[in-house]
Amino acid sequence: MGVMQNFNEPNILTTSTDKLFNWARKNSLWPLQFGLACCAIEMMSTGMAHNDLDRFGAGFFVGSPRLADVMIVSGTVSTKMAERMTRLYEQMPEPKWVIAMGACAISGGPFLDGYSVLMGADRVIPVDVYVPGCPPRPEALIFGIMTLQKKIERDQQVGYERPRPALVDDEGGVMEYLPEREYQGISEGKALRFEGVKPLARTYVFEREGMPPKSQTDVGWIPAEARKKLKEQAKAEKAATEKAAAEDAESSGKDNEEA
Amino acid sequence: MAVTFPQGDLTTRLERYLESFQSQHGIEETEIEGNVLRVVVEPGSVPSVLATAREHLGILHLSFITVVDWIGSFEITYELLDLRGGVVRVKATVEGDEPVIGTVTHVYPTANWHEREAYDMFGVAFAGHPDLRRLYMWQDHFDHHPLLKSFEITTRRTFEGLR
Repeated sequence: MGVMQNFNEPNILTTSTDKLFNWARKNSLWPLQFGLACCAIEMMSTGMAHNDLDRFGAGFFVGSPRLADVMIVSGTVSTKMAERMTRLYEQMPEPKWVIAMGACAISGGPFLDGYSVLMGADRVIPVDVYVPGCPPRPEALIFGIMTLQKKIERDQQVGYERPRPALVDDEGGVMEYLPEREYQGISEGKALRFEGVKPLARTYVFEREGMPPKSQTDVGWIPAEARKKLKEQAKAEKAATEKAAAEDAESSGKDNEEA
Repeated sequence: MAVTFPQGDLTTRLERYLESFQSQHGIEETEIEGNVLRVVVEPGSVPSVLATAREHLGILHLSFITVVDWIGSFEITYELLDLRGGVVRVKATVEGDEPVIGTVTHVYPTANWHEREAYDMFGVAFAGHPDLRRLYMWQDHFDHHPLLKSFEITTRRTFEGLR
């Protein structure tokens, strides 16, 4: 920037759009405020004053996926959380990146054998950078973000070909492209169907008699005006039913007299 | 809302609970140990016993419902707290591999989620529950009750095809 000050007007900078866009993107990475487990504590520590993630433009944790650029998956992902995580990922606008932070987000970590644990975030969403550790130190997360910045630097806006997983030989030539992973439908709560897996043997559906008890349908506190309105409504309804009942009684009485 | 707690000191309260349980229901076995009153009842009479505790004795709080899988029978425990230090533990044993027991959601509304948890983890069905869905586990296509003794850690899992 020092060189630019020597220019007189007009100030013209010649560069490629790739460089400009990537420069802007990599220096303003907004992470999604999304902590799953103990790694989130390290992530918080990274964002605080001592490590100061803002030096890399990545310290502004946003509360909405619509504003976020990068999702830091910080902790164990259970299968139920996978559904939510995938939905959050889908809600983020392009371009978007994912950092898998810690052993759990990479592979399931020490909980890998658990019946509810997803064995790595990359089973359901594409991950750009893996940060190993249990949990990783803030320096490691910063290194991961710097790695992501380097990755973004190499990005292309035009003629972009998505990198595909492949088997390569020693010289880097592609031997075989691996099949793309299907990520569809998991955010809708639908797991992939595999052959030979039986449905749940015991699913109970009981008929309910009448409405649930009042304690279960209690709406809790309501504003005074609304309460007044509801009271008036109830009163009017009650009056109407009473009137109808009285008319019924009258008509039936008449019928009796006529008979 | 005015709330009245059960009156008297701990021993008198527990003895009063015991007396009224014994006079109103068929109790198999009872024991007072420290601040805990343990009551073993028939599975069929659990809702009525808990209704007595809630309505008649004024025990307001259901702490938890817990299940033990004894392979072939299930021991279901309801722990009640009278909010003054006294604890009532109601136990029932249901025979068979597919246990069914009456719901207590109409007595203690908090039992709604406790029963869903017990169903999720052990497959205990609570007859009359308004909404018996899984609470913790993946709703779709997870076909196990993971805390059963018969559940193996190597069982095929939801994401097996993605491993």
